Amino acid sequence: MLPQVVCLCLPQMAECPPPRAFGGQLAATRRNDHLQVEIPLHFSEDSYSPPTTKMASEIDLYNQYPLHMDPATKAITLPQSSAYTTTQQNTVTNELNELNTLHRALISLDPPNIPPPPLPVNPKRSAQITKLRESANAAFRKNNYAEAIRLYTFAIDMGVTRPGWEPVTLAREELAGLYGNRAQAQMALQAWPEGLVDAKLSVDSKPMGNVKAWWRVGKCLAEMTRYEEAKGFLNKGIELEGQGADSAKELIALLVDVNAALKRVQGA
Amino acid sequence: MVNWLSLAVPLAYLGVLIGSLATFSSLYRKRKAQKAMSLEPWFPAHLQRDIYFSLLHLDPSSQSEKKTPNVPESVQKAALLRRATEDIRRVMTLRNQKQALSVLLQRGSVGDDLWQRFMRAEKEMEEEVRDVVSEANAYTPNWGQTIFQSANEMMNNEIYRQRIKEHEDTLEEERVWWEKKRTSVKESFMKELNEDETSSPQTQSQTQSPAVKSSETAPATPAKAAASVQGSDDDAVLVEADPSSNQASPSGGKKKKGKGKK
Repeated sequence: MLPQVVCLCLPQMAECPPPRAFGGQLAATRRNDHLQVEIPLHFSEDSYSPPTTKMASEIDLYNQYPLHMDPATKAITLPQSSAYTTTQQNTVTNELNELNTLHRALISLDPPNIPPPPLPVNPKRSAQITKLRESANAAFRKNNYAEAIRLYTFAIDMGVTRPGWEPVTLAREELAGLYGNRAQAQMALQAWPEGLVDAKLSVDSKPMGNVKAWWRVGKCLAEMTRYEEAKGFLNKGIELEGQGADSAKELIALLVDVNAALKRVQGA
Repeated sequence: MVNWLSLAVPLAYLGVLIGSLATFSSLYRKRKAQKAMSLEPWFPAHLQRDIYFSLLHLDPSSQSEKKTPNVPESVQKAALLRRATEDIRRVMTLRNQKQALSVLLQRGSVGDDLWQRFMRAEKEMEEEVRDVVSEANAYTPNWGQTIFQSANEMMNNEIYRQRIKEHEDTLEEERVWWEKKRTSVKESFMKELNEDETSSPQTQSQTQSPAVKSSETAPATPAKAAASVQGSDDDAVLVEADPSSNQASPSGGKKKKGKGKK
């Protein structure tokens, strides 16, 4: 059972409006036969100063979790207790993991420790990714596909671990290119399933103006004799690219091949 | 002199009327309020918000004997950011649902209860957002202006990462499938080989193709790289070929190549 706590954010109890239910708290109130109302002992401003500037003086209901903070690492955890079901425990623990990850990311920032506005982006990471991509491209040109894949993977890892507050469009654009290139390298090694997944990731990241990746999806599927699926993807790619567009030519050519293969297989 | 007796009847009438109306109105209002209170909330419990407040009220003395320091501000900021992210998600959900719900309400497809629940959720979210902004401003001046921008990007990034993960999870499955498929095709091909001696020239072409490929890919630049994959076309077609189309496949592969290079 979740203990219900009435949080008094300002010591103006007399003027407080009647308790207002927030989110799911009301449901919890009704479910609990005997609810526990704890009034925190420290609502004088001793333990936390920042929110005292809060204007609203209303009672906020919330579910109190007996959280624990590791004094050294500042990691927040929820101690095992019989009060929660396993699913509850798991959701809270997952959320706390996210929180701890975010906290580590915030700590690495400059003093105010708040995420900067989405734009402009910190150029350091982008530069590193570009560098990795350049060297991977060079390895690819030298037919050193395994090395190229390794470098692309590094670059992709860096792109995926971009802090969350950086614009998502940037991450998509960057990763679409990287995945597309890695798909190319995988295909050169005839690793069709790997190439397929990478190409799919690329088109998923950036569906428009990404002919090469669409072509690679179709190609990988055709190589694995999955013509029906290849046809579906190619049609979608052509549709997005525009039927008459110059860039759609290769897709159409591949589609013709796939259709021929499909006919052959069905005829057999 | 007023005749009190004759006035008593209308006065009593008025008294009863007003009294009953007042009773009715107060009862009605009470019931309505109760009903509104008993309505199920639109969203489930706001976990991030609960955690944020739990952290604020984490009482150092109530922990263990040893003195634990107060929760550092950076943790609180992180928790606030998580809360803002969840708020964004909820506000978006509400915004998406509003249009559809109002149409449904006009047509009478949904009850008034649902609409009331929705309106309440909307009002709550408004207050919640205002609260988050003022708390953010309290931590760092002007953070309130950007916290929701950051939170929005964080939400979108999270969704995007989720999708990446979903795709990457399919990789193992695909790999297993292809391994199986390839071995089965190979087996049937080997059987074909044993049955038919005439297929030996084709195996030669299979061994040749890697060499052909490497010579093709030597000058490969990313733009030209598409052509290099074409080189691998022949052997793949050979592997996949089934008995009936076996003879036709090499020429088919060449045709493919020609078209691809255009």
